[in-house]
Amino acid sequence: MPAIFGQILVGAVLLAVVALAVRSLWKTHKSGGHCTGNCGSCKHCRK
Amino acid sequence: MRTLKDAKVGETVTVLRLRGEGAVKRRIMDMGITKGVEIAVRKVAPLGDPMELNLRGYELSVRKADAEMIEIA
Amino acid sequence: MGNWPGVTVEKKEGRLRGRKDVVIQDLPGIYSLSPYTLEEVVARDYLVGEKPDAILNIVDGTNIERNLYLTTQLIELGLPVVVAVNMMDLVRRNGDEIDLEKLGQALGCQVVSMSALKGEGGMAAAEKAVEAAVAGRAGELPHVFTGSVEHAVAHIEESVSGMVDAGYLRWYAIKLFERDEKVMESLRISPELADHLEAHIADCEAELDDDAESIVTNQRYAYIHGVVSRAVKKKAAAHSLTASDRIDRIVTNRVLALPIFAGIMFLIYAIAMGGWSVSIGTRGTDWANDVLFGEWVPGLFHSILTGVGVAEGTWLYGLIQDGIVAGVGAVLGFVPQILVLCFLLAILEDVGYMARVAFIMDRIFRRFGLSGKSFIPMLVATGCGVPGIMASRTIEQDRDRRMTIMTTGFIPCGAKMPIIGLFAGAVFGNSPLVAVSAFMIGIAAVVISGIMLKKFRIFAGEPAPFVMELPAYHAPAPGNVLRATWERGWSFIRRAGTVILLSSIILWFLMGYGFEGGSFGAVEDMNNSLLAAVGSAVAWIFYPLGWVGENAWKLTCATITGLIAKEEVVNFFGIAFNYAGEADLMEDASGLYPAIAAAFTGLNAYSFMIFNLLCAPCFAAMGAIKREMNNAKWTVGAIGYMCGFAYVVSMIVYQIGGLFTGETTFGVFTAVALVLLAGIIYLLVRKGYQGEAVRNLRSVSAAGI
Repeated sequence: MPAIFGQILVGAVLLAVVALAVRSLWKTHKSGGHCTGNCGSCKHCRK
Repeated sequence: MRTLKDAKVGETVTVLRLRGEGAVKRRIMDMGITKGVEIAVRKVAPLGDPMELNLRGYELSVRKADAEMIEIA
Repeated sequence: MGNWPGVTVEKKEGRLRGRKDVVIQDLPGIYSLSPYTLEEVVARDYLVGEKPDAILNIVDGTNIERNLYLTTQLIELGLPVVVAVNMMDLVRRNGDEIDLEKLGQALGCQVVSMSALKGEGGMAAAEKAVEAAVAGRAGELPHVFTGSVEHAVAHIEESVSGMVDAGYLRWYAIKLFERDEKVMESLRISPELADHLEAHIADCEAELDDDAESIVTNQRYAYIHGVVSRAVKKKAAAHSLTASDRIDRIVTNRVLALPIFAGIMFLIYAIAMGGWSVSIGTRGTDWANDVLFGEWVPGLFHSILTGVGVAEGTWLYGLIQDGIVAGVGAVLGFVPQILVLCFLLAILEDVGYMARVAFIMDRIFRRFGLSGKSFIPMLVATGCGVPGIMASRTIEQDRDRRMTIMTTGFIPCGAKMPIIGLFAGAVFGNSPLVAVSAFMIGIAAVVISGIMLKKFRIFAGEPAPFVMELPAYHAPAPGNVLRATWERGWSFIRRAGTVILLSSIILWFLMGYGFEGGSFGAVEDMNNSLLAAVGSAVAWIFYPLGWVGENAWKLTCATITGLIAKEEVVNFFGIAFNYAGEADLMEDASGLYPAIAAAFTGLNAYSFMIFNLLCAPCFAAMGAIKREMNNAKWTVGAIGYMCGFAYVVSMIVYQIGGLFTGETTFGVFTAVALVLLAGIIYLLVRKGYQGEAVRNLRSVSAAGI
């Protein structure tokens, strides 16, 4: 197998991982953070 | 007028009246310190404040500053 | 909907096992439906606004009187209520009897028994709640109050009957009788109607010689007392000592409490953080750093990468190994320590000792605007700030928790030790005073910040009466402890996979790439990297701190790399000062001493050290701050405050210290430093924000909802 395919494969996996990380951050951001159970720090609770 | 702050450890006292108003008073009442309830003063924390009370079958800790709002017989 | 006691369980929505159509919403634990704390307002907004089909109210059977107080308020909402009396195993063991049927009749709702600890009755209680929801009919509302109050409430009900949902009528009427401002606002009561209601309320108050709120609370408790004395047979006399009280006589004893507390804290520190053979946490983390992320994972990635044709030395290999694996690995290495620590704290919390910690330490910490419980985060932070900040979760009061999060990062953590060691060795002739002073500065920073910040309105605004229940001790429930441990550990791992991953990649790029020989690409000499360019561009900011001369950018860049992990500062100096030795700089940095000694004077070394000890913590800790604050503004505010405070302190030390050592002459920045020093002293001694007289705050609207 030529090295170039391996490099493309690794690059693709890397890109996917980074995309997932960004998506996860974005989703957390959108939903106003996790709920920690203390309402003082919660955007939903504060309305 | 004697307040809960002056009560001695080991003493059992009856609440006459609560001073003040608003959040702190309501919180104290919500925890069961109401007119006529019997409170046993269990102990005072090692550094002299807060104090530990026993009332309505459970243990409660109150700062002396808040205990001052509770008038007792 | 239920309110489960136990370990601080996060507010959650879930589905009943086996019944996909049933949604259970867990609300924060509350004592009342008053308008004064955020949790209570949230809970009642949910109960009134979202109209759940049924309420499952879980009460503590060992403390039934106080618990039924909330129950009477829930019943008034007119929703179907099922009361589950929890901890029935303990009730029986105490020799007490609770007549569930009598209780049910008196309250006008279904009462079942359960024991969460033994896993008994929970499902049955949930099933009952589902049945009640399907039936959709609330029981007959019990008449809790005496004649004149019921009379006034009936009048109020009549006056507002068209304005509210019929089911909630009694609840609204009682709230109006209490003059609940939140309810008055939400109903937009007209002035005429308000006057009319006020006449009824005032009549009743005059008759009973008390204010309406007190009347309602008193009568509620009087009613409950009657119900309980009929339905509950207590074996022991009132105020008698239970087993838990006997334990407490020793544990919170005036003389023994502090030694026992110190012993328990030392034990936790020893097991999770210390450097001994019993220190499972440290050993786990050492193993993870040296073996797992030192050899195994890089080895695994090496064979995979070379296996598919990504050779060592290519940029892709470098990015993955030096950037991601090294960066994420450095953070994940802390997982064993964090799990051990969270496990121990979860046990303390579940057993009931946490409340005692607050009881014992409250006197000291509240002077600094912190809580008695702030001690634990601070202690843990001497090992690592991340679990320290996470440990602040156990502090209920918002104000105290925020303040604790903001100040915990000032405590010198384990990763700052190499920095202290480097300067102590290179510049201060290995004086032990350097390390001691670093700790003192950390503690002083906590105390000074606490005293300054607590006077600001944003911290002083929320009334925080310290009226705290001391729950009865009980054996820890393995399920609760493990769940709490896992939830905290997982949130840390998750962060390593997102924030840390991305910042590692960015920093790897900044350090390895730049313009060299007229073209952009990977750089041989780090002096040509983008990071060096950034460092040089912003180095002027630190000029007043004494970071001057040709090495200024190195100090700036070292500080930036310190954001990955504080020990990176030492590694960076190794690279920047062309250290050629073989020794691991974390273990032995003495080879670096001559270069450091030549580049620093005593004073700017100290200024640099202080800044790095106090400024923004590493990315992992910043992530923890964000997670615990759960609010962008507070996160930025906390980190900004830390950087600002570090900057000011370093500047004061350098500028004013320089006058004594002769390193600086009196100039603009000396004047600025003096002004800042005066400012800090002013903030320390000034009278704090007193407006609205904390004690008389009418409702949480001031808390900024």
